[in-house]
Amino acid sequence: MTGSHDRAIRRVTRRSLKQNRSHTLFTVLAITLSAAMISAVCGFAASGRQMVFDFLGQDVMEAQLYSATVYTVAAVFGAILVATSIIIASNAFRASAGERTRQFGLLGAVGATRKQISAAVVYEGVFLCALGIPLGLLVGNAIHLAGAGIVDALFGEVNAARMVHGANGASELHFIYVFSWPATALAVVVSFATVLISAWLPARQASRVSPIDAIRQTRPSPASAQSVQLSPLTRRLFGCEGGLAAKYAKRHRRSYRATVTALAISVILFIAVSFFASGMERSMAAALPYAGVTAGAEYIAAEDRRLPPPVSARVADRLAEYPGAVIHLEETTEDGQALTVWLAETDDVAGFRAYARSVLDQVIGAPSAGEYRLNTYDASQITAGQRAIMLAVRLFAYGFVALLTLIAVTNVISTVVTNLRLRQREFALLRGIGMSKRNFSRMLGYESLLSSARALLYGIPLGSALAYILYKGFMGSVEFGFAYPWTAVGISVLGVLVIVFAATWIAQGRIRRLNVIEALQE
Amino acid sequence: MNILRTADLKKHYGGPPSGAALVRALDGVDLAVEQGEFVSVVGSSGSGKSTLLHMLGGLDRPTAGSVEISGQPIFAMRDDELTIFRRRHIGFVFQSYNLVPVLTVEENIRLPLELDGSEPDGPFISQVIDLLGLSDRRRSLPNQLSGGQQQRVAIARALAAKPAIVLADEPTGNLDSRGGLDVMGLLKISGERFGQTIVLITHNPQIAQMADRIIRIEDGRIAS
Repeated sequence: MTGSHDRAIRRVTRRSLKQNRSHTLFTVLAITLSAAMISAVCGFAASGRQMVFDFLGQDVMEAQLYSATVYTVAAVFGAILVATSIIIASNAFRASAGERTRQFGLLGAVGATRKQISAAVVYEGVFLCALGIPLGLLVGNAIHLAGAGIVDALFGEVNAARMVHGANGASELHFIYVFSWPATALAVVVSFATVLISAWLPARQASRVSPIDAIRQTRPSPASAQSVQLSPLTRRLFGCEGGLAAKYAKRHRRSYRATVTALAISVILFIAVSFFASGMERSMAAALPYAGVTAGAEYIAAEDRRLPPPVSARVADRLAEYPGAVIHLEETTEDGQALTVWLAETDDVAGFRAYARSVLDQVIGAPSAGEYRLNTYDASQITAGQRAIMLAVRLFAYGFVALLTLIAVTNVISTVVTNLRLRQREFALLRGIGMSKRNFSRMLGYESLLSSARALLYGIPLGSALAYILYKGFMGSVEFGFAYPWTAVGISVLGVLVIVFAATWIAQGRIRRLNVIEALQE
Repeated sequence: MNILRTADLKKHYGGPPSGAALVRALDGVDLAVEQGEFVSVVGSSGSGKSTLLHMLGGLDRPTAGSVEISGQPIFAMRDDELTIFRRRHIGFVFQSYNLVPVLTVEENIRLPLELDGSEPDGPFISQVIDLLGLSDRRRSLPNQLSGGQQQRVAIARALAAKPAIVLADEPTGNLDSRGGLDVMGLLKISGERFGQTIVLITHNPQIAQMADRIIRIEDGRIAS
């Protein structure tokens, strides 16, 4: 096909996008967010690689190994993102497929070939990407810049504690923003492919409908009267409006499904990813115990001169007498040396150290002739370093949850808005035969309730299952039990209701103002 | 010369594989239409007249039989070949107008030509637009027009590519009797003016009378 052949197709596509402004806007927003996240993940991977190479030196085997780890983590996050984006974006495209089916049918009847109809889809994708991807790259780089700044500031604490030691005497970790062309190119290609696949899936279905069916808008699987029969209970409980809402849901499974799918995916991801985030947090906490410890005292001696338990216990008791101090006792053997450590959580580090010194000298006795050593030390910097690392982990994990949720929410809003817009005629009809604004609001309210309930019905079990799979796969090695993510479930129930009702309420405003006669004539 | 010819055209729905009852929408139709003829097809609801028109226009494939337009058997073509043949040689007018809502009147009229990538014959299109009384509506969108005006745009669109044949499916079905007669008058005039062959489907006897020849269809067969 040459360019001139498709001029008409491009024009139709452009005008349709312009006319469905709110849908276009939300789709661009979803693409922007997806591209932003993909670009941010690529950017963080580039920064991580830079950090590893600066710290360990580029030629070291370990550096190669660590940067491979960075890429793996980025690939896992990226894959979750791409999968989510495809499901969510194709869902958004599917929500408008009813309208597209009709348009494709019209074009087919006046002589558009399948190839030209595919061209329309590709053009739509290119057009939306042309808006969404550059914006996404900007936002993604902003996220990357801000994220790198925060993480580097947190690393400042780690560096101050001199917790890490790299090659060539390097003792400081730096996570800096690096602009990387390969990362940018990758983000562009992945985002573009995501959008095209998303647009292609529902469009292929729409272009298969024969022109006559498309023009008549016959539904492929009309529900029989039997299958939309409701139990008398529904009518009794929710009245006529509730009955209508339930019937709509049964009869128009397809368009209704787009909203439910969007919601369910959001719920699944939210539960699973927040479980994953809290799991990461807890395994970090398990790896870095006693986060509140600020000071320590220790007894070091040869292995055969281990401190007898009654003595170390007596020291612990005495140390605990220091006002406000909490003591943790640990005994280990390291490099053939017996080590007894009393870790203290206290606000007054200097005072505690002086007190501890005197307790050690009193109970164990001041060391003579180097048979053993007694020590007190300030652990506040190390603790601050550990806290900084945990904060960085939490930031990454929950930032990811928040952004993923944001993508899902824009998608839910776009499907709700599209769905209601496609039903304008039906609404006008109902208003025409005497449904009051109040009845109408109630009907939409019941519909919102129904789709929320169904989404939660699918979302919560599947999200919990995914959380369990993640638990089995990632955290089997770390010692702690499976804690059901109750908080995440609670938040998602509330969130779903709020989002659906808000989206319906926004879309409803437009329909309320609709002229009944105009809508019926359309 | 016969511009359109069908031989033993059949279209059956349902039947053994689907388990639904067999419906013979068309049950052996032989039809010939000459160049420049204006033929109307009448019949009650469910007699198969719309199905016939869809077959004639290659919008749907028959169960058996053939349709030849300008001597070419259209169902021997692949889908895309058929689509291209359709936009070059067949003009459609539907009951529900089927204009693309986001395109202006003139853009809708030119759409089949633009899809074909062929150079629209500007003076001819202006002539058609004038004849159909749409000159001052060129830049309007379909929803700014009355039903009769929309149907006139659809007729102009069907004529724009100078097709071998124009197929009209109840073009007056959504219009009042006055508007319907106006549209019919214009269809007949433009047919005569541009030497068009027209096959029209209707259940309205008054409308059918305006044609050169009336074909009655009953239970999927030609009755007279």
